[in-house]
Amino acid sequence: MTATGDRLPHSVAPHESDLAVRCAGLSKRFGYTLAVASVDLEVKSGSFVVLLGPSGCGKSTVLRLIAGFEVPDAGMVTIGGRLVVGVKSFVPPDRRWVGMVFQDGALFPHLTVAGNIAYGIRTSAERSSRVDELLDTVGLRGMGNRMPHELSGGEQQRVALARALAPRPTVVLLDEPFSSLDAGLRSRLRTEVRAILRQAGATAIFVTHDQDEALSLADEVAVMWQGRIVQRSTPQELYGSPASYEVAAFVGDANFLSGRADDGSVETELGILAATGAVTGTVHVLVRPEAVRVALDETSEIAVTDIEFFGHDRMYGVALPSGTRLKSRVAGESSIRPGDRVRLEITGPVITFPRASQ
Amino acid sequence: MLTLPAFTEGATITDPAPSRQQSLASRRSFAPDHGSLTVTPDLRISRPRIPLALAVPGTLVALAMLLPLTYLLLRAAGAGQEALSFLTSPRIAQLLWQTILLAGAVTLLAALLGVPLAWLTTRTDLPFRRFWSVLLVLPLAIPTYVGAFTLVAALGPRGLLQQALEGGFGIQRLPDIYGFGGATLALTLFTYPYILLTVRGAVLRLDPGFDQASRSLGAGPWITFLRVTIPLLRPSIAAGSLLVALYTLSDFGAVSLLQYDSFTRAIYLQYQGSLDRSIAAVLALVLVSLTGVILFAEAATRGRAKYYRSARSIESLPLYRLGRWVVPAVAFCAMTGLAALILPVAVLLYWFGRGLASSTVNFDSLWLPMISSASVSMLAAATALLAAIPVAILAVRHQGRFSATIERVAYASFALPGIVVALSLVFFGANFVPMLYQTLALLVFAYVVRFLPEAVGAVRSGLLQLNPRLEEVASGLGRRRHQVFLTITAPLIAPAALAGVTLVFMSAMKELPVTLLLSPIGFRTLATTTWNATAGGLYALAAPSALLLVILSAVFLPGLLTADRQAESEHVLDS
Ligand SMILES: Nc1ncnc2c1ncn2[C@@H]1O[C@H](COP(=O)(O)OP(=O)(O)OP(=O)(O)O)[C@@H](O)[C@H]1O
Ligand SMILES: [Mg+2]
Repeated sequence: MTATGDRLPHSVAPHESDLAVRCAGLSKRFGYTLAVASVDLEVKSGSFVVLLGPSGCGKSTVLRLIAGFEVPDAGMVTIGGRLVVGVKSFVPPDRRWVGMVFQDGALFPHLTVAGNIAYGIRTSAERSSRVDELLDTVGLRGMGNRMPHELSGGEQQRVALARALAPRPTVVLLDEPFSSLDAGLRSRLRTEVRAILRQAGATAIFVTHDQDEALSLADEVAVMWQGRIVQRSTPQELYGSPASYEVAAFVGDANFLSGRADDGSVETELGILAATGAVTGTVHVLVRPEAVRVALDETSEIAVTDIEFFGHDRMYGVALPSGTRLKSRVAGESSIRPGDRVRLEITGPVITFPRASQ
Repeated sequence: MLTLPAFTEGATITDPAPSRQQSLASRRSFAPDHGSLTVTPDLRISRPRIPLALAVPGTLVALAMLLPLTYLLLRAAGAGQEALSFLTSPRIAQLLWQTILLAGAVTLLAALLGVPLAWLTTRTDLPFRRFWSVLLVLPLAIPTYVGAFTLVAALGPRGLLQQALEGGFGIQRLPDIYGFGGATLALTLFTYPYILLTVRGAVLRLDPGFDQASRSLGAGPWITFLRVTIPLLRPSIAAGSLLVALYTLSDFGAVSLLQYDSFTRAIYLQYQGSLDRSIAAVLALVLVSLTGVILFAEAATRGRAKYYRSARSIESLPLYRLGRWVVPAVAFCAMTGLAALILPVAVLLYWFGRGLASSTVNFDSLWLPMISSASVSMLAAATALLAAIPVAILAVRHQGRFSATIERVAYASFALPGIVVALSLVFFGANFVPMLYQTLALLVFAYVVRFLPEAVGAVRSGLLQLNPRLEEVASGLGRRRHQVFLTITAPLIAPAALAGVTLVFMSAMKELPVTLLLSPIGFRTLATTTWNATAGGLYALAAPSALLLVILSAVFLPGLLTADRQAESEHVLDS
């Protein structure tokens, strides 16, 4: 065990190294479950990376490997340029300078709010001023003397964040911190937390299975699937050109048709469409709902089955003669009713993914 | 160390146990093209080992616990042919049957009393709930041999009832209080609080979310109770029943006084009556095997589920309305309280009064035994807590073969009845450490050996209730392991630890066989004073120290309930 961890966090200043966290070949098995399979992940200092993936894909395990609560079976992790786990080395969690925020907050129930935040601050001279500063930052000024159970769920999560930021960690790991809050509070809090982290100049890895959360928050999204990272890109790229059929299905609303692709075009039941990608053969065709336009047409065989109204836009469900159902997202007013006959128009090129032979 | 057979060749890992993610998990594999995964044998990640600060004390505790059993095996191994043939004699079969019968009957009856009482006094609108919940735990303050003494002194030949009936009606014979019936009655009445307490603790720590989730899914209160609550309480019912069963197997005082022929009594008679102690050792070994089997069965059925309350459920538990069940419920509580507490105490008071009247009672002779009992028991409780902490932490937070072994050993000593521990340590002391023989140190050690599981159990359950994320957060914030323990773990498990300490203290106060055999010469405790007088048939002389023992235990009993009350007051705060 190498004991290189006695340095204080400021001595590993973020700009000393470009990367706050680097994982390479990180793997972890639980019995026969391969929870994390050779994950490579680089997180630049000051950036906000979201780890997105369905439940059970290994997101939490990656965070726990970085924080040192689990030991990988293979691979390595550096934090602030320092090897914390790898060949013949393991730095225990208390010397990694990683802040954690869990889903349930995990506040110390026997300490006050101030006591919780002060817990990780080593120098007693700094303690009270830093606690006040952080209480201000998270908007809980004057609540330092409350006990955790006297706080609402949202307030508890803010305290958890302040506590994690208190020792100025190299990176803050947030494991679905808002998933137990209601939707309104969640979206308000995530914008707020994003701002707080940016203001603190903190590097963050944020785990979620909520794609809206991922797309709205991230500088960069890493999509996990069955223990692997299958795509890393900006939110826009992820939405616009997903790396695989699974990613496409998971991120954003998606329509899928089957088709035969040939050199920039694909033949589907909607006719021949322009396609990106050089795939040929049997393919899945991804058509985003906003690329599907509908217009009333008495002669069409396509029927509107349902309408979901979202205020800013609406989503039509339509049934093709073959029985295939598609969704169409349309902004603004419209007089189309369920049962009406419509004509479809696809705007822009569609994306194709090779179809695994079955 | 770490070998990665499936990783090295890039082999496909299939999941033999289909899970909810089977379709995903079973196709997971390390594709050979991920070159970085080929791990050669020297490129191993060093695993953090179990910290020495836990491993060393844990090992020492386990070794100490093994001492009496080791002697027992040595003695039995050195037993002659006679002792071996004794092993297959009908006598052994008879003792086995009678002992199992007693333990089974007592455990069943104690559960039938303890579980409903725990429920009634915590989750229903039972009138005077606080009163009942205190009263019904108090029988724990009556040692079973004192309880047995009150049975004999009340219902036995020359007892109170007999005297009254003879005088008034000329009735000569009552149903015999000696034997199976009397022993079962005495042991049930004074051990059911173990189940009551463990189950009540679990009820109070139940996450109301479980209950409310079930109710909200349309299940009525009874269905919820049977389908949700009972399964959630199952570990605590099992733990309480285990305590009762093992208590019965190792009980010496009640079966001796009520002359029920079980193993402990046979061992004691054998030890006293013959020079060949190996036969006693053989008997003891059979008894130990029996308790071992029970422990094993409990461990095998203990669920792997971990329940801790999520920190965010802040509602208090709703109370069930008893409605027209209120009369039977109150009657049930009252009858239990009457039989297990009021009547025994009344009998003690009666004999105490008679002693006062005939001035057999000497108050001065009570002080010294009282101080002796209390101080030696306190030492034992504190030592047991210190020994229990590393064992419990290993068992809960560092699961693995090493920790499981240590925990098993710590619990296995619970399978050693007091009479066995006493025999072993008499021999060990006399032969190997004459310096310690007949000292308080050896007596305290024997108490710790006997009652460590109570302390481990309490600390362990406290740790299980503690969300491990709290400790992870704390170490993530840069605190070393021992700091995390002192600032987070210790304060949060303090109520549970205190309950454990109190349990050990009271057990030591009441302990009889070890105290009889291992007390330094002239060291008289309340237990030995009571026993000596009762054995001599001097009821009036036995009553004062017995009464004092009961009162003193009762005074410390609230400590046991602290953990419960803490949990309860949190609810009050929350609501
Ligand atoms: N301590 C453990 N023991 C055994 N299996 C585990 C353990 N922790 C995680 N797993 C398994 O590893 C896989 C990945 O778990 P992980 O908690 O990382 O998923 P996740 O992506 O965080 O899921 P969620 O979104 O539901 O939190 C799952 O199949 C899980 O069952
Ligand atoms: Mg998770």
